[in-house]
Amino acid sequence: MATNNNGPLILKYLRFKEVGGVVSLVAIFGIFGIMNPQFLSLGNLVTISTVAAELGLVTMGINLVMISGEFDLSVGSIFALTPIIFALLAKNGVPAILAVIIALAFAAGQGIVNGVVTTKGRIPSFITTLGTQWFWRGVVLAVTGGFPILLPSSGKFIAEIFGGRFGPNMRWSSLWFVGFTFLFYFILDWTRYGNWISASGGNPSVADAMGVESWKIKTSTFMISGLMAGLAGIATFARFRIVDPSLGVEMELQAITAAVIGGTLMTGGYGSAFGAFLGSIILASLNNGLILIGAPAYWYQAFVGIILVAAALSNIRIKKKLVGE
Amino acid sequence: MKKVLVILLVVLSSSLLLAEMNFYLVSHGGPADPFWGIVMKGMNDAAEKYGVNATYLGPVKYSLQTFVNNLNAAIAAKPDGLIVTITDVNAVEEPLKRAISSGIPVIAINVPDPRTGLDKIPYIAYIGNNEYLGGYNGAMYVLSQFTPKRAVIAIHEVGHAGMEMRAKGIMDALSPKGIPVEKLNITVDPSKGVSVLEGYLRKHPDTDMIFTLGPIGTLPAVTVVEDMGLEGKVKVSGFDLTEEMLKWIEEGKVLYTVDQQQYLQGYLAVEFLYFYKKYGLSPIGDVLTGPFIITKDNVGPVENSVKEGYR
Repeated sequence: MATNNNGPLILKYLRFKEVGGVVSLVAIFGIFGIMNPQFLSLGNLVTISTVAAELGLVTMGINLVMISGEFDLSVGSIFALTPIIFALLAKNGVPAILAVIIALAFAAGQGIVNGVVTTKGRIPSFITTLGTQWFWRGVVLAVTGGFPILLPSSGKFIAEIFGGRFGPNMRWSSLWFVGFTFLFYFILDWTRYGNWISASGGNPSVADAMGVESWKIKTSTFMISGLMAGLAGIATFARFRIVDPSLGVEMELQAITAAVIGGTLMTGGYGSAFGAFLGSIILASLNNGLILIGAPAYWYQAFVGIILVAAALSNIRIKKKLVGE
Repeated sequence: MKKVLVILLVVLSSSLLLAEMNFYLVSHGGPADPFWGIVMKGMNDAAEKYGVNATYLGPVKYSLQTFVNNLNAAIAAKPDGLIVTITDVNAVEEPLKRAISSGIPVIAINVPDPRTGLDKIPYIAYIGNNEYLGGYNGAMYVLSQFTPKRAVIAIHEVGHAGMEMRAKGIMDALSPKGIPVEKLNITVDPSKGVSVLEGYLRKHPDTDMIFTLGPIGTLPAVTVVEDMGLEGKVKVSGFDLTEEMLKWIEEGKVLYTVDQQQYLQGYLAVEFLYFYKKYGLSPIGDVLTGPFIITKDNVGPVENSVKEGYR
């Protein structure tokens, strides 16, 4: 039951899902920018964009899963395992382009496993992906023996397509991030498939009754989530030129936080690609900004906690105003 | 609530503006780790003494990604100086070389850049310990006390570069004397370590010296000596400083341990950066804060410094 606006005209323009994210972002940039103008310097904004991109690519995927009503806690482990597979294949003579395709296919496959086990096994995705998170992280540790893996020179070119540098210090991952944001926005808001995703999350029984096979939809979102996590992992690999077994630990929590800050609800059925985009930038700029104003870095976690809860509270109110109960 | 936050933030930022100089210490070690707590104390003590602002940045949970992101943010803040652990050369090389060429002086602590020549990151100095000497000097101390018939080096993390350097130091000290010495993988699991060591001692009953490379390895070694009733016949050495280690040295169960005096890593780094920025003075080369060999003879004063938080 959307209400007609009786307030000032400006409120009409604030009636969009991502308003919480936009307000938070403007506030953060405003506050940090005033306290330390270095925050707004080109070099620093580029740094923020790189961190936001690596988190954001993962967030884009997990956002889809959340809109379809599920959780994916395994993205951090997929994020670490994919570049490891890529590196090991490339080191052993597999042509880099084939190696990256295999590694990404593996990432998508891990997502499919998550989806099938959850939907066909009828266990909560929280549990499934918690299990696969442990399992794949264990595989990471076993394969690496605890030691980091270097980016082989044969794999440099391909990896750099995803995360290499250009310009003053920009990374291709930022462009991938922006591109995928538009792609996912288009999918979610302009295609039937996007509609089916929201339906599967908002009201799965009704969706199934109307012929939308929600288990297939959900499995596909898990696959996309795995694929995006793998892609982000390879982009990060290009930047660090090394994968250490602790890569991606707790990334799933950061990605979920970014999605929620951007407006996606934990209950499913509601969320947006631009929201996930904003949420990722907010998290990236928060840590960076706190460092630039001289706060010891452990304040970051406390602030993220506050912002997360505040975002969830306000997003529920915004949703009520926009689309009713 | 919002007002409090704003006031807090204003106070923080004004402290940045009022201080003479701003330094950032970016490390792979978290603020929750007591080892790094002592480094932080050194950093803060020196900052207070010289009236500069020093901020410690470390990930709560070990994460190379967070460490490098923190480093990039610290560099973007255009500080007067950076103190960084060269935890992984591949990951930090690009940001650090960028920082140095933009005029930010860098001091490396705790982990150096192992390369030489033009590739090496051109930091002003490295302040920390030397793993190889940790092994070598420790073994030389043992030789000053007695000549072992046979020695074994119990490694709990095979392949770890630092451990391997310590082991090499020990072997280089013992082999010129013709003392047979072997490396033994005892793993990080103490019960496995005990059984591996027991097996080795039964196979080579003339072994009278077990070198260990960290508290995780010292525990099984001390346990085995006790269980097999070999106190006095087989000696054990340790590495790094813990309360337990000091107790063992007092009780005569461990001959020596190696301390890297990480307080100095924090303190001296700030001090050197201050002198560099203010007067252009700098040390040439590496400044070693370890290995400092702790034995029964000096364990007393060491314990006092532990109580006061300097070790």
